[in-house]
Amino acid sequence: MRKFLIRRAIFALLTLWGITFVVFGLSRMGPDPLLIYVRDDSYGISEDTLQKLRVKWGLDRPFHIQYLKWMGAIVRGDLGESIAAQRPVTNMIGERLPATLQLAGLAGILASIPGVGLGVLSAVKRGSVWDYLTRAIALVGQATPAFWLAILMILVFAVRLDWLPPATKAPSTDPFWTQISYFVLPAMVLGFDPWASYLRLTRSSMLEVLDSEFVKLARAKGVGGQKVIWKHALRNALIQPLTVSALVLASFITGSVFVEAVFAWPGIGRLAVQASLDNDFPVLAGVVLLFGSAYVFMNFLADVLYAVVDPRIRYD
Amino acid sequence: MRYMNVLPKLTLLMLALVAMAVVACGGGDAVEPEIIIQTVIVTEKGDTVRETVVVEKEVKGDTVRETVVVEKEVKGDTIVVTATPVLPATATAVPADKPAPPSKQAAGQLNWSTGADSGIGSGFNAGNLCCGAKMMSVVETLFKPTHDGGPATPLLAESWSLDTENSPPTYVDVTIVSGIQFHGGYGELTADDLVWSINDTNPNLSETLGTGNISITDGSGTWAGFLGANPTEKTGTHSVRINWEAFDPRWDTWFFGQDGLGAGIVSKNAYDTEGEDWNQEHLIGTGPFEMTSWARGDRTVFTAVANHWRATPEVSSITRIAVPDETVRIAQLATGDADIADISVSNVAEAQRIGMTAKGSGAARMVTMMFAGNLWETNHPTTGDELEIVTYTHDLPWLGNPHKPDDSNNPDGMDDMEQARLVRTALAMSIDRDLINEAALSGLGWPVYIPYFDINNENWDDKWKIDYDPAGAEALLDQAGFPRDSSGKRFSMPMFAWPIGHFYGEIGDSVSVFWEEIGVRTDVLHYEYAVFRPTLVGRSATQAWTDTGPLENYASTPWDWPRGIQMSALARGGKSHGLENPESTANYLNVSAEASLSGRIDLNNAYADYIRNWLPGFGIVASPSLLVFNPEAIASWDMELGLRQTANSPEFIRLK
Repeated sequence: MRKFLIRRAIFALLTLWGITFVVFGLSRMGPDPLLIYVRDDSYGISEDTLQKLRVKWGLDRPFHIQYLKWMGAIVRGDLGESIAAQRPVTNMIGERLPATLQLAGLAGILASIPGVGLGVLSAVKRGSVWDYLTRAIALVGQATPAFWLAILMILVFAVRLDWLPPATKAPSTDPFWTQISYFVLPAMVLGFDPWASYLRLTRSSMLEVLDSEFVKLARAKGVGGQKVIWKHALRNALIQPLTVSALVLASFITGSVFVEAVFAWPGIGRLAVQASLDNDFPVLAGVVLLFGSAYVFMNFLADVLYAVVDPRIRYD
Repeated sequence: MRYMNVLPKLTLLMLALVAMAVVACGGGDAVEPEIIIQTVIVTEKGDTVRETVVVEKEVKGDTVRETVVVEKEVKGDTIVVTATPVLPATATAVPADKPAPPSKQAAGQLNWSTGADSGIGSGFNAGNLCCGAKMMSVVETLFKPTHDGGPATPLLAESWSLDTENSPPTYVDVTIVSGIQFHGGYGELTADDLVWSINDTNPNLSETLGTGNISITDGSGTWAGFLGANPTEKTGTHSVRINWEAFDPRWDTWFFGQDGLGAGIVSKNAYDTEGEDWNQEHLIGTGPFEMTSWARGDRTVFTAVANHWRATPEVSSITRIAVPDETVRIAQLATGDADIADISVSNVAEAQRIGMTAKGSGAARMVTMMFAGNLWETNHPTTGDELEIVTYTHDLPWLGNPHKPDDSNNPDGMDDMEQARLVRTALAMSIDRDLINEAALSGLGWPVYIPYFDINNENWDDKWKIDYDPAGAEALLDQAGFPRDSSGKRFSMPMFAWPIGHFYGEIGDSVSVFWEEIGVRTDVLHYEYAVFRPTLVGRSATQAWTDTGPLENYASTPWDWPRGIQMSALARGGKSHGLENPESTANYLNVSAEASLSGRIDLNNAYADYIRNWLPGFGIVASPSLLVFNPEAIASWDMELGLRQTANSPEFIRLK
């Protein structure tokens, strides 16, 4: 196990290094990076001023020196300074990350609890109307694009029914339940696809476990039906959904790009979109690095969870 | 507490997912057409001329356009500003399906849903060249946004005198109104603030390198061309001398106006006492609204300044919320979550159907098709350096090559410049501008024939018009040596139509349909401008593209203002239309230096002749900049005439 963890950690670090190289390399491609940085008409700006800008952003140095300096700063937790906002990227990400994590947390709850519950129902009532209904909804959930679903939900639940606000995040000064109401639509849209995944995964795992010998034995011994399902079968069937949860959480962070753009949610996804529109490479590099790191870390966590929750799995 | 009972509804929400598509459809009732009254007030200090123009429009299905001509001469001086058209400030009224909803905001407060919060600058100067802080009246400039009054419409300026020893003038002495207070108790506006703000806006003089020296929002590079490295100097407690490198007749309203590229004056005291980091987060101006809260990329709260020196707002606060998706902004209007929203012109009718009122400052973008890659200059206009030309590696039909006039496929007796001119003319003749206006802009715009020159201006001459003539276009393409092949195709060409605000993309798509009709296979490229831009800056782009570009391509731009810099090698190193010709360079420089009004108009008329003949780009349609607001929240909003901004002067909002 220890050897496995070390090996996985090394792979994770190598992957992260690859991400940094791609992110930085792309930002330095082209004839003169300054042409990407200087966003508007530079008529009249003297060559002296342009040279000062190159020095300020380190563009006067060779590529490998620029890269090493950038890497050195990242190791120290410094992601550089935004060109558009003239502020530290670390601060900007720090301001936006909580909103995304809050949304991801609620989306995780909305996806996992109903998803697992309906997955169990579908497996237990296999071949019934409930089974077909939940599977059909799961199929729709996985096939529906988030941006379309978001617009449709706004149209129905905000515009037509006026139950919920259409977009944005409420100011922190608003009452608690008012703030919660702003979470509902984006969290549901963000959680819809993972909800369907949970449902399908739980269903297939439950079917497998319900068909296993130890469940048959428990039933033969006279253990009650509910106890067999919830205590014996579900605990074993949860291994797969549980390990997938790590990747789902990572996908919430990266998937927030679409949902946050539609719902005007002030999180990390919108920061990424705005940075790309602004040619703000330091911010974009920071966000991409965060997304990449989240995936690498969650992958690593998923590997570890497999070994922890299932005693049959041993990597060494 | 509006949405307190959420949890019980959550269950219903889940169950209702399946039925959503059915519920989503619906209709409504028709309502009466409305009468819109727009009042434009022009005020002059000094000569104390006050003129009020009332434009009354009864809209019953048709757009009514009024033209108001105002011509004023500055006392004894040579600088005169021309008349400008009053463009339709209101859209054609579309009957509402239902009444507007009541506002959900507290009394006196308004929510303004906008695409992005960009343009709200920090406490530094170049950040305030553009839109947000000036539009929201947080910072103020030397002159008012009303540009048809020219130097006679002061804001912070009390009096001024141009250099009389040199022609054209090399400086202006300005005295500002005394007693004006900055927000937040940062003291009185003095010459020190003016000097700091102007010099820091100039990239070549900025002490805060990185905040004042790149065009973070808009156009500090243009400031650099205007001012050079000449600092503004303090000449008294409330007076300064502004020195410039190259005289520009737009010095007052464009470079020091509330619209355009005027530098908003911010507090030097705030910078000195609070430091750079604090000023990145705060903005201390003198306007009727104070920026009291700013969450970048999300929302900004503007609070009314009590007992303001010139106009105390009736609104207590305005919250601008960045909502990227336009459909969602319309949804916010429909629910009463937003009282004002920025939307594209193609969706104005949609907003009117839910009871909203459309309004604009008079600014309108002229959408044009530019043929990037036509680089006809050989040497840089100011340095004389030989220019790098990289666009002629392939002989493209729409690119004229003056550097190698005889290339592979010219018809006998026709050089490449003439061949490409015929192609561009054919492409310009092949489109039905009225139909595109109907299809892409719901009929709210009007045709544009050549870049930079609007048909509503009194100086417009129909000799520049380009008639819709597909048969004539086909004949020109035949003459240029591009007959149809067996499949009906003459040649293929790419076109970049950026998807911003919907209408560029849709207009590009519409144009491509007409081009296909005359045998030109068109690949319309819809990707982000940020991707395309480096090829413009590097002068390597070779495709046609839909663009509005700078001030010149706004319909309200006065006829005598300099035109041509975006078609000039003067803009090398920065963005332009991606094409260059010496005539544009000469026109920009000559008009800028010309002191007489008639001289500037004559020069621009000759330039229009040149553009019409060579068509390095051609016009398509003009799109008026409009926002919509909820009449249940806002009774009226008298805006100043705008150059580029969709809206201004929220201090004149009257609540219902």
